[in-house]
Amino acid sequence: MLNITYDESGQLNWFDAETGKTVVYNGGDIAWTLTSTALVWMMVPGLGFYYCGLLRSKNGLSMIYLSVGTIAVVSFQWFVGGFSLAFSDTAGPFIGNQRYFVLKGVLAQPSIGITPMIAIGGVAERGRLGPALVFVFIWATLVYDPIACWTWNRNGWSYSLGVLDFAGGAPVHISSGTAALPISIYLGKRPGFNTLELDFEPHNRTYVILGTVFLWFGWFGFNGGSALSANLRAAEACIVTNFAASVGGVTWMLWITT
Amino acid sequence: MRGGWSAVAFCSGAISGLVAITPGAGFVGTPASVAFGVVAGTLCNFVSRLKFGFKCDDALDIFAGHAIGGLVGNILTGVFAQASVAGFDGKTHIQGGWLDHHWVQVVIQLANSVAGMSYSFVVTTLILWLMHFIPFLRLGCEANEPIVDADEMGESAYDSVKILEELERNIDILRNLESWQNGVSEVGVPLHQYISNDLPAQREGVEGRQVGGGDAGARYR
Repeated sequence: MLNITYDESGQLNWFDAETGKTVVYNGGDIAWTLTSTALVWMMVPGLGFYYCGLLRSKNGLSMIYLSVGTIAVVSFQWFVGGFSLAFSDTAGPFIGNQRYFVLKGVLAQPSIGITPMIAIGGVAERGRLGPALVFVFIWATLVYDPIACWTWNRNGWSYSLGVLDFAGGAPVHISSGTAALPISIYLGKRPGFNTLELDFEPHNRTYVILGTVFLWFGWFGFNGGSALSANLRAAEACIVTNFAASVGGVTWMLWITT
Repeated sequence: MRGGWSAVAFCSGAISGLVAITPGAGFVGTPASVAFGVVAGTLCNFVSRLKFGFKCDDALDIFAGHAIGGLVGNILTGVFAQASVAGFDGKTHIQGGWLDHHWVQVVIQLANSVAGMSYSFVVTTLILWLMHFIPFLRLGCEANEPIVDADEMGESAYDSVKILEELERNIDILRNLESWQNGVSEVGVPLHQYISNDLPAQREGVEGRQVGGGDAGARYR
């Protein structure tokens, strides 16, 4: 039984018997963080739809399937040890340990789901799905968790150097984007790659836009939620997120048009 | 990539902007976010074209979009981070980036990026290598031109007419490619093996069929 009381302002107070301290949880912070978790959850199927739309119609469904499969596999990975590998208080500079083997009373860090899904897009049009989900589990454990640990854990080596990484430049995007390269090299080229005749037209541009909309929408939770509280820094994170996406979209489109 | 006000190009660019701002959000001010969008939308686009030169079939431009987008974001965060913005929550204290005359920040950002990139490349390669030696975990499809949805899931997103039309158009194009006429497919697999993996009717061992005679869509009918 958790020792929880509410103070006069309605804030949740948790008395931690181990340390003898009272931790105050702000209701607004909890609400925003949980909302962000749900927003980030939507990014994963969003990425599935985006990938699906870019592929040919015979291979598209597998990407949406992988996105929901990845959510399931990675949620389990995070529960049985991923969290403590990345965020344990007693971590080393490269990788945490198993102090919290089963998670209790901890808000899961939601960005973990999207990362292996970005990477597993590397199997597009030529990979098997069952092995891909096994790969996701292993990859999240051996690649994502250590990089998240060294970037965000207060014992991590680059955190100690003072690296600034709000929501996951290196742990989420550089790690997954780079992983797609060895996967693509390993799986080889699709027949007809780099020929003018067969240029792999996206089969459904509606899905490309739908997926982008899910991603963009969810990204407010991804970046805004990384403040872990409902404050002005979260608001600023949401503003710059929307601006960068808008400008990026117009820029890329202009390069194609001109 | 053929001009026009492309929706796909807009979406790719928007995602590259979102990727780049990920490390910077909460550290950079609003005007700086424009720079994140412009630099990411430009560099990711250019890098996505390099794959043709390197002959690496990154089908969904994941390296260009996410690795390069993340690198751009990390470095620009080192440039534009401001102690005043990070302090919007009233409790975070940082030294900031170049805007705050904290010159070493970009070096730290670069170190973390390069470390993440190298580590991910090496460990991912090792995972793939290990999985390669366990046949039921091997990642690649056996067929050279697999129909992933039908082969792996036994389900499809569309009715057979749409998929068949696309498949037959693709195979017609492949047949006319020079590499096919030389008897070797793009990936260096002998043509007869390619065909037997590819066309279900030929998989049944029909002898004497010509290259063009396979029934590509047998499993959909």
